Amino acid sequence: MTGSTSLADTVAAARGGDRGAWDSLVERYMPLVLGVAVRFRLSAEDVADVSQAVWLRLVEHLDDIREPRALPGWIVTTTKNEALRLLKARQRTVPVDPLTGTTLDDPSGGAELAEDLLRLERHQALRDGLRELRPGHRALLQLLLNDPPLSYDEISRRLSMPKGSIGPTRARCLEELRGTSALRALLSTSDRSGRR
Amino acid sequence: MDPTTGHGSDDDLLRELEHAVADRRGVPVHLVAAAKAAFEWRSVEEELELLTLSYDSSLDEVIGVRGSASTALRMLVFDAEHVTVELQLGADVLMGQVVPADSDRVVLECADGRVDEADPDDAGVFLLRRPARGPVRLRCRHHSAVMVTEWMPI
Repeated sequence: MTGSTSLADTVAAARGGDRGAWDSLVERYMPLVLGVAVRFRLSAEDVADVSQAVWLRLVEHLDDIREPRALPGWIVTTTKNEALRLLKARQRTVPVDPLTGTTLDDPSGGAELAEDLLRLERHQALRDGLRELRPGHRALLQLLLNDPPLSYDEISRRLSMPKGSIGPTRARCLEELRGTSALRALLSTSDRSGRR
Repeated sequence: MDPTTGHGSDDDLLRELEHAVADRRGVPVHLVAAAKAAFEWRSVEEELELLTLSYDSSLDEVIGVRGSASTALRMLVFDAEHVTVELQLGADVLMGQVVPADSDRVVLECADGRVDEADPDDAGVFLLRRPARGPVRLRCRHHSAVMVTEWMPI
């Protein structure tokens, strides 16, 4: 492990009542929660309610987490379920189309949604993987991802790294990223098809 | 990145990483603050019994029946081993009844940490203010048992 605290440690600390650990879980996984929630065409207020419901559930769920690596998958599933639950609860107040009898687009069954959710989970794994990298590698990748893009000259200057080393180091960074526990966890869970 | 093997080309991986990092931008600060505050509800001190939702009138509505949309109030029923709680969701208030009636205080807990409390009358009937937004959960005490519902949207 590098200097960054592992997910297992963070979950254990939050379980023990450490507020800072909880805060870091929120910061880490909020993009995942919102990424899933916005796919259900909810209003901004409803997205906020879904998000809050997921976090409240996670507060209760902390003691049951046996395998912290499965947390991103749990978050995706829970967010999806909360969004569907909220859509159902809203049915009463949503105008009904008398011709079709439908009130809402139900995006839950779509293959497109399933694909989106997998992609969001993969993005989460990549962000988690980035945290696991040694600091020098993480810094290089962050500069390579800079928006707007930086030239190799600029990156070389900022990292005091010879320009000729950037390419080979980049390859090593990505190799390290592929080997992080976050990405390996993702691969091992996606092997279990139909896991949820 | 090839989603099945994770061994796509470096360029593909870097591109996907770029999207992944971009997801993090634009996360509303108030949602993060609210989620952090949810930790307030972590209860480690007491053994809670779950009041399970056994009926939700919004789920048995016939889709397309227009009249029900504005007239009927949503009704929820929760069960625990020795207690049943009925709850009707009015526009401004939540009317409930707990059976058996000799339950103590009923507490409505809101996601943002606010609570509203009521003491059921002799018939077990209680009235709570309806918050503008959910999720909420209901907590009640019957003799030594503390029971709580799941968090639910309202």
